[in-house]
Amino acid sequence: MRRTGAAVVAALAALAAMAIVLALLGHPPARTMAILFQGAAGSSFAISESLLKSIPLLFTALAVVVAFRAGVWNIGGEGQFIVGGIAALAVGGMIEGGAVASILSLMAGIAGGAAWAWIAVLLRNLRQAPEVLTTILLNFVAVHLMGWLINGPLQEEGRRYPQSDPLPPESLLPAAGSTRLHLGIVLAIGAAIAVHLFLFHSAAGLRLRATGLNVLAARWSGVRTRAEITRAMLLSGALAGCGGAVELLGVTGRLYERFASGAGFGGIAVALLAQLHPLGAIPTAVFFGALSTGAGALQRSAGVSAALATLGQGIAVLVLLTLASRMKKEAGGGTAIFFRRLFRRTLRDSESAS
Amino acid sequence: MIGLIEVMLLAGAPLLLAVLGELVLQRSGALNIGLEGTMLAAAFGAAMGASMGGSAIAGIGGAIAGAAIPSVVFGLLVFHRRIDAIVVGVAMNLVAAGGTTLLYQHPRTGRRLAGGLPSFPKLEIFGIAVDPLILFAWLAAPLLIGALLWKSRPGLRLRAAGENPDSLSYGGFPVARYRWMALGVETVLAGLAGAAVAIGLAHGFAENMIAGRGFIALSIVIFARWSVSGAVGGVALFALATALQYSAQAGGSGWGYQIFLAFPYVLTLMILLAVPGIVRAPAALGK
Amino acid sequence: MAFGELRRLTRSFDRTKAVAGIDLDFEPGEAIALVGENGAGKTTLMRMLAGIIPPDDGTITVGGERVRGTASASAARIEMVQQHLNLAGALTAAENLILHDENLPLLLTGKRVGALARSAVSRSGLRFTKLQERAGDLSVGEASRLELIRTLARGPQVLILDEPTAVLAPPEVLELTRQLRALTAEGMTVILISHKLAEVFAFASRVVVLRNGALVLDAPIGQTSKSSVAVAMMGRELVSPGTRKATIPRRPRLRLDRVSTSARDHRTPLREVSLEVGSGEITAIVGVAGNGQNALADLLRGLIEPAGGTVAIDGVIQTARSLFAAETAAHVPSDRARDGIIAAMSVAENLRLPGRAEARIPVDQAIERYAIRGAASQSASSLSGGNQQKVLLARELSRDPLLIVASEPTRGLDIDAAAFVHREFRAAADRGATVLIITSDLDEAASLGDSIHVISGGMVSEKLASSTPAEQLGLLMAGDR
Repeated sequence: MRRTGAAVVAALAALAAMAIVLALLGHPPARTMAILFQGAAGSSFAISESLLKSIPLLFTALAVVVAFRAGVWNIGGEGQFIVGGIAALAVGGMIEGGAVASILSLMAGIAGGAAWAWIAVLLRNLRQAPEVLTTILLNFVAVHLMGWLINGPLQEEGRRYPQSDPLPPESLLPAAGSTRLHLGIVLAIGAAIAVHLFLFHSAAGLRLRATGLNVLAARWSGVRTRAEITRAMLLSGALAGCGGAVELLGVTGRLYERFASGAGFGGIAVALLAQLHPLGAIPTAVFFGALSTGAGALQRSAGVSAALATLGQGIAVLVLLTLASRMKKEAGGGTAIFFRRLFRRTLRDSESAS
Repeated sequence: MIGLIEVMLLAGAPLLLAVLGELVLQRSGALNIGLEGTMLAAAFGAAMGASMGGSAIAGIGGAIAGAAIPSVVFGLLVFHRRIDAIVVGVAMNLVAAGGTTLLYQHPRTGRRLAGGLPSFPKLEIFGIAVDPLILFAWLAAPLLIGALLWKSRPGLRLRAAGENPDSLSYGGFPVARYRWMALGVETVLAGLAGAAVAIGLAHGFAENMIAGRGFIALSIVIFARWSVSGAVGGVALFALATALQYSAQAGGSGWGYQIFLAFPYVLTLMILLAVPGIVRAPAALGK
Repeated sequence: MAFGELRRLTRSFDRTKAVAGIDLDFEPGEAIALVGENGAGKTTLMRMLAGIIPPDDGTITVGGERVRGTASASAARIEMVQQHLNLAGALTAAENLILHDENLPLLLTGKRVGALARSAVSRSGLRFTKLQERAGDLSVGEASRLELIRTLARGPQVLILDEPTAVLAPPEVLELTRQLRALTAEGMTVILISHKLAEVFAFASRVVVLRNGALVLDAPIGQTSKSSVAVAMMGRELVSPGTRKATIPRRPRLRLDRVSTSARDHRTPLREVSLEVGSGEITAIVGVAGNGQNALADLLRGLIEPAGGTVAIDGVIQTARSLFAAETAAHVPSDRARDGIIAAMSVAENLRLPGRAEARIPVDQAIERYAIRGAASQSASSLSGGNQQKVLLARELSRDPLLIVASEPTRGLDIDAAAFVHREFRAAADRGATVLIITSDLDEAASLGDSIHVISGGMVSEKLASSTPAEQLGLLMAGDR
């Protein structure tokens, strides 16, 4: 309950902060907030658009949940999302359209995301390179890789815009009625439930969480922690990659420059606001999805940049972290994952004097 | 050849400043993933300062003020509320990216920052015109930071804060004071780095104009193994590669150059692959 | 009015009273031993005196001045050497020495650092030569001497030492107590926190005993005895743990043949260690902490590969991989908080590690059988250290192990819990398990082990009878062969 309360307070604080910023820029807060809410949830179309925006965020958030719970800092959701999209397009483009094509290209996306995450885990295992940095760097590599592809090998037939040809419509995920809302929302919620069952109701999930909470104790108890970390990172990459594939198959149908548009870092914000609970990520993803839809409406009608939503995400996370740190002080260690440190002393160094 | 080196020194200047700032901060035991955001806020502040004050010096003031905003939030949350620095850093990047873009795109504040800012006056040394930025970043800053860390009283205690905070606090010295001091140094240097990008390189602000330099700086700190000479060497290597990439880009034609844009990041990954382990990190880093 | 007066000092942590209304007076020149079991409140009381933690209630007056916080404590020249070393490993010994110097110049050249450090050493009256080495490279004994020098250089009037001998070999302990007596002769009040009666009686002029946060005995050393202090500490007579009839013949099970480990893995690696433990046998490896115990425990846990020699179980040569995967081995690490328990997980989840759908032993049954004071769903962090250790033992022993390797299995346990643990090990041995106990507690080694090996400098002695006199073991532990 307290955790839910903290998330709600953080969300409201973000809205309030956005209103204040807008007021300072000379927009009357009542009006801008009304536009924001109207744009986010004022009509069935607005609601479907908000839900639509929450799908990629939920996938990347689940990726973050799995990784952070295992104690690996996968900040590379964006890159894994993009590579998932590239892989899905590449495979989908090779096969005649149809359900088989969409399933295969979804699987390609999953594999692509996992492969991209695997690079970071390899560097960590070989060189102790901190994944918090390598995953960020891989984000940039993925962005430029996609940039190269859509300006070159995968550029559309007419070579007019930096974008790929679209996949045949029959390969895409079916949408609900006249909206753009597609089957991906079912997949995303299913993934959240699956991640929840895995983490909290399976032996493998116990091992993964144990590794994240205390890698040394987990290893002493007999957990192969390195394998756990590798597995968590691959699973995390797979979820982000799946998000990329679903976005491609459900919304865009093709790759273009702003394909990922902040899904990676947005996913971190969603996961943190959900306090790393996979089911909690569903409402928080919808909240941020709505925020970004609303900000889009605000940009169209009041000329305020949609970057407002990014600002809101950051503020929500900061407020939540502040609240969570207070909870930790009172409860004596509930949200331990936030307080873990990145660099540990080399293993087995306990005999040293320092 | 001279051209290449000048490009290298100029492109490397903001990076080196950021690396040195983060190096000091990490030596004190804190880690700022939000460096990218700090630099972005600084670049915006630089553009604001230079356009309002009409001089590059005003730009530097604006840059440091801009960098100070995320830094103060970071310090309060990480040093006093003991919140994990990584998640705070990620959030600060979101806030900085969202905030600067919002302000830049807003008709009241932004658009006029896009270009035409006053530039740094060149210094004349032995008849050669040298960018003061290059001089400061490649000569003065490394010497100052080296002296601060290794030849001064605050430096000694700052390093102790990064190695074993208890060793300081039991002597009656508050650890937070030295981490704030290090954060202050980083703020000034990241501010100068932001000014170097916005005024020295681009003469204007653009969305996300830091373009990953903050993240690359974080990697170079590790590559440098937390030493000043390593930082200078690492940035030189990196900047040389970037300069080569520019000339390859200029020489090449068609879409192929796009792949070169990934080159700095791939190189950084290769560097991390080449460095065996990070065992000599400050022992209390991130604690 | 006494020179130092502690009045009704009280301090709680998480609703448990660590110190409950203690009054204590002291005078210059006294050598006071503050003794008690783990958790009796010794360290908490002294940290309040040193101003490190504030009392919930009560007052401290030293030399007529109130002590509140570190600033007034250092004004009253009260200095405390903490139990864990507070050195910065990457700084040199000299840099560590001058770190707290109030009058440090702004600019510090290497020469100036050296001069300041040498003057600090000479002020302390102790000797130290390795000023240019990194503190992290010093031996534990050298590091604790450095820490003591740093404290003495500040010219304390009241010196508090928190278990300074825990990591020292017997001759070093002797040397330290002699130095401390010399300091009291000059008028310094020295308060030594300890639970080792031998050194208490070698050092103190007065002994103060705490139990459960209350002062239960305060007497001049001449008017008390080891047994009465022990009774005061524990609250009742020591119960003999009982003896076990040896089951003979024993089949050799665990065999180490000239095993060495790498210096990359541990500061003190193993050096050509040979060892043989049979089924049904309990062998104790005893030694001062930091003499290769971690290397031995990590090796047998399968965390590191041997650099030379072989480890065999039932005649089959083992690799790190096979040792790690062995389902029939139980391992109790020495550092419970770091390697044993996952504090943020529940008791039930800790029992289910390393990742089983169900614990081998039903959780309720484990809680009852091991008398764990806590519920299955409670987080392990909320348990006391003793109860955490019970969770750990329940998890490991429920494997029905053929091999048990336990490091410091009773550290931090009260006497009942320790006796319980010892009974469990004996029962396991009676069932035919091979038990290896790595401990720094001579009494534990002697009462539990069928035989004893002494570990020192990474080397392990010949097999010794468990009746070997403590003096002889002490010499071996100090490395005098």
